Amino acid sequence: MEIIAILSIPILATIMGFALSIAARFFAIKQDPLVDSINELLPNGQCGQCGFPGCGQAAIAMSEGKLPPDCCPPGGQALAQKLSKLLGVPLSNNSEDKALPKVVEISPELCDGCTRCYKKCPFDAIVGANKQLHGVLSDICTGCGLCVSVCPQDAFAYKTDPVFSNGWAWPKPELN
Amino acid sequence: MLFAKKLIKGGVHPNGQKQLSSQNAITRLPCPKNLYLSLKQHSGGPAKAIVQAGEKVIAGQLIATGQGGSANIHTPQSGIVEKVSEHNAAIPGEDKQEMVHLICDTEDQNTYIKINKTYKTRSELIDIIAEAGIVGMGGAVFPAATKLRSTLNKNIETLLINGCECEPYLTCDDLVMQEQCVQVVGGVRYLLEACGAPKAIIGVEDNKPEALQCLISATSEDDNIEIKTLPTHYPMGSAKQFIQALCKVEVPKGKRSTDVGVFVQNVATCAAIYNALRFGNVMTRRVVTLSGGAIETPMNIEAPIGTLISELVAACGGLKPTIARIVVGGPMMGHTITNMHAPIMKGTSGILFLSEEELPQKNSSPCISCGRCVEACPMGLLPNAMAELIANDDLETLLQQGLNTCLLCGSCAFICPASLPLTQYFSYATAEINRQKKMEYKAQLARKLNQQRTLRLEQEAIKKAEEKAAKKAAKAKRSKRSTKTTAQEV
Repeated sequence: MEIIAILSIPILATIMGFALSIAARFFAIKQDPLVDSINELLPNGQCGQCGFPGCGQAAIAMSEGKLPPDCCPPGGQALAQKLSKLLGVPLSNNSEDKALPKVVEISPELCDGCTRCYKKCPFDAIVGANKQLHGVLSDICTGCGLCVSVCPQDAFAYKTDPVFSNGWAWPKPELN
Repeated sequence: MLFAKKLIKGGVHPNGQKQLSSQNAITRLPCPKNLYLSLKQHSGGPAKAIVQAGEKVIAGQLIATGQGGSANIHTPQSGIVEKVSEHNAAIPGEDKQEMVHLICDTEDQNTYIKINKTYKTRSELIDIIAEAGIVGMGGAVFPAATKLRSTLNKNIETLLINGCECEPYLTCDDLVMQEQCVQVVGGVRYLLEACGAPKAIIGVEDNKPEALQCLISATSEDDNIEIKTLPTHYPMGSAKQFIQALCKVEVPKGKRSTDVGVFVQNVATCAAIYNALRFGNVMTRRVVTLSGGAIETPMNIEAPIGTLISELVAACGGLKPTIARIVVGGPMMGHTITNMHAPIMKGTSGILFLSEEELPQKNSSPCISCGRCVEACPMGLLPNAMAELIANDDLETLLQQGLNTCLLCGSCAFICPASLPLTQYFSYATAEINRQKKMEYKAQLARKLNQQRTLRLEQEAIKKAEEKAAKKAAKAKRSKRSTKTTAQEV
């Protein structure tokens, strides 16, 4: 009787071990599902402002905890909050996080219509044609800055997003 | 009276201080040399300026057109447009606003433009009100015509005219009802026609007996206009509370007053509507209360819209050295400004110059959970619990607690024995939630556009490859043929 009692557990463990190893092979998940859910939230502009070449790599880095949730300027505060909830990482509470979102604008004097910027824009926020003055659709522009880096004329400047242009808002009261 | 049922939930009884400015008759201010007409005097987007610097304008001329829910803006006086640029505005935060700076020809009193005031249908009547640039003068500054148009396909049972003026200090509506009761009642008659309601009720708080008397005698022949006296109780003048007190119906959350068959308008707006429909006058002047313990002679001034606050102060004999704070609007819902070089707008009902002893206690102490704010809240919210949530940045739970029904009436902060800045918390949270919504919308848009772009680029690449292949095939065919011909020639 004792032998059954002693053996039952190792036998059970062996069977379960085999079952698990088979399951691990057949039901394996190639990628962390967290990466997918992060990727779904990211704007996918591949702008590279987070320091990674694209949003996919950034999502992997975030899932590994190498990137903070507020690393994505085009996503802004809204995305940062969603990511921080998803990852369970608190947002750092410095004032820069709450800075108003920026968009770019093209200086009409400098733009020579080379089309480099609108080819680069991941969100189709720049309109223009060859040798014609280009313009930025500010309600689409995320301020990712890809266009700024390719402009040979240095015609881009950042400004506060006009959607938020009634800049002043009631501050959070501080108790003394 | 002890057992009388309260007409509205919650509320407070602040010290009225109406006697300061209600004793003097309305003074009509002659047009000052400089006027600054803001392009955003109403709720909604800014109007579009249609004049340029150096242009000569005539009194009553349209200088900015309202577009999509905003209202027209006209000149109060003939003159020359100096420039259209940013100028200080008496708005929360004192940001600058785009304004038309007008240098007036103060001598010229005879040239002015009037609008065409003939109408046949209800919709044409509303068009005249839109043309005249009339906005609600009670506080929300909602364009009157936009509000009226929403009644065209609805059944309005009662027209309510708000003469409560429940904010302390303010007496401009009181004096308008006393001195311009003919215009007010005339405007009510036009409004009855415009919104299709069979009857109107003018509600006035019982601390304005003279105004009540004037209205009763002015409406003695109107059997469809009723004057009702309401108890003095803040915030009786808030549209939702006003409807509840007079019609005994509650406007459901997220619905408008027109959804419950009621149309509410302020008394001063009625006078403006009368002036537009009877005389073809556009909205270029309004009555402003200048009051408080730190102004020499508190009074009501009828001034052109765009007059600088500093000029109004000069007309009142200046400020006293005890001045501690300047508030635009009433003391309960108004906001502080520091620069008097800002113009009054269509919605500016009063400017208060308060001395130190009139200010609330500054230092706040921790909440003692006394629950007085809960009793005072006219919307049945829990201000103490909501402030706690905001302090901890839990905005989602806050929305479940009903933040968007908050009127920002200030009753909770007024009653709070710990002097907690409750209303400021709710103002902050409302703005913050809006900001986050806008950001989220933009992030989603960016995602969508990027997906579309990727798809488009892929399709373009496929098309290019196909074209290339086709070209290659054609070339191969041609070269084959040419070799054939050469072969034949040979």
